[in-house]
Amino acid sequence: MRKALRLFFILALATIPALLSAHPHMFLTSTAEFVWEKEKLSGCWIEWTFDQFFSADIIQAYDADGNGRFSAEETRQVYNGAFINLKNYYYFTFIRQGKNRTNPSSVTKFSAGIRNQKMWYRFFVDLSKSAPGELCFAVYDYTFFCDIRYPDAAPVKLTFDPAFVKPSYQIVENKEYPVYYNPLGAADDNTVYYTWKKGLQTYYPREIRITYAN
Amino acid sequence: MRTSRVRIAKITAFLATLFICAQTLAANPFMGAGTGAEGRPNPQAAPVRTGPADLHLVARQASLRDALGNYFHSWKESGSRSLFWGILGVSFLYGILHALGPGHRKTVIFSLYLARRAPSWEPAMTGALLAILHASAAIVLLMALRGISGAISGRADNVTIYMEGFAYALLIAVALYLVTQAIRDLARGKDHASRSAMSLGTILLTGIYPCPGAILILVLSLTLNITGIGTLAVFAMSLGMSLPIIVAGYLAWFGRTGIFLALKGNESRLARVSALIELFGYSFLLAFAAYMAAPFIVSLARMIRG
Repeated sequence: MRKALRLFFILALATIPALLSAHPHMFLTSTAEFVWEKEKLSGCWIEWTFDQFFSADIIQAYDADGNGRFSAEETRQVYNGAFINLKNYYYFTFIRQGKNRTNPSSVTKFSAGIRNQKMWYRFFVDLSKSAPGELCFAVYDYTFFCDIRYPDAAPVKLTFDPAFVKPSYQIVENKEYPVYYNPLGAADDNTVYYTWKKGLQTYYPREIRITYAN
Repeated sequence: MRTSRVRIAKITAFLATLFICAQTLAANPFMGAGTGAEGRPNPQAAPVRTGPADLHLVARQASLRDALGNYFHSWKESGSRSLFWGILGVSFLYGILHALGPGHRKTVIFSLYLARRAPSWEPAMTGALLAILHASAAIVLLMALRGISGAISGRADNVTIYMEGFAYALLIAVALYLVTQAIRDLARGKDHASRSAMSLGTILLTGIYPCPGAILILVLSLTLNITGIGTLAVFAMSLGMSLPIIVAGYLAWFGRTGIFLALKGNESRLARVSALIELFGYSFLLAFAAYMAAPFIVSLARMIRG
């Protein structure tokens, strides 16, 4: 009898972790192209390719003339209607150099398009103020609304002149520098924390670790 | 007559509130809630508790969704019997994986059949009904949002947040009532048959909120103008979703029945154990619903306070 009750209790508790995890509502792959000007890292082009379902919704909403391309005006509407709100989520972009962690305050050169029925966004993150050495760059959604993954093939491109710099990269899950978020925060409380406090939950980013020296 | 009019008015007001919310708020990080008159972001309610997903499960879902999207596009070009069954098969598999993820009432059903005495067919029926309600709500919501300007999924996601949040809030209220009744009956040694019917009815009622996964399937089918096959795919997905829910129900049902068989012949002990298990089941349901709904309720309270 006691064994049976104990089993019940264990089973009941065992169901909790699966139910506390969120299935994402959107899926997107993220690639990054890091660009050097001579020996200086100038920035990173991020390109996101969305799943067909979200893509279909955005295309029907913003490709007004239905020609399969976004004109300058349509791109502006995509930017305002389905992109710029990400500034409240740090553009899902997290930069770390040693213990110093930052997020882009803005991004530039936004463009959008359709490829094989899938939407893509492309934009530039300025990294010109970063110090040479090691730079860790991660793209993730800590709200778990979107599943963001780096594609297996060519997730990162390094564009440089080998006469000035020879960078390399690897992608690693960082267990040493997690981010924390408040599960009880309102949906517009998008703050990430870098030190743990009571009530916060943990997220381990998968970082693109760039190493280069002048 | 008057009572039913009042009820209809209340339901209409509730639905109107949901759609007003959908006009001004959104949960999707890409779309946001827009800004108010002073340029400040509009307030948003938080969804029920979320957390990281199992990476393998998510990867399999992503791959099935991609396949389903490709099948939809192929169907638009030229429908065939093999494609038809392919769409239904992939949707069914996607439904299973989708329901293995969070929500979808697995723990609720587990708690329910831990707490209440039920015939052997009932967990299967309840699981199937919940999944169908879940998918049907998505179809109704999408039809209601059809033709709006801008992206549909953002609005639908937002409505889902409110419906799911209120469903959990209702679950808290009912579970609280059931726990207090179970405690009272345990003390008095009373029968609890009427409570069983109430708990089942409420749990079915709280299943009426749209499934975001189903909404996205419908959005794609709508944009491709193949809503017929999209609707069938959603029902195939629901059938798949019902399986993990039903398994959760039978896990509890068999466990409870096993205990009762072991205690057969000891009536007084059986009655006491039955009452205790019922109390435990409803208490677990209460704790779970409160834990899940906490972010939604806290954020709603903040919004009301301004």
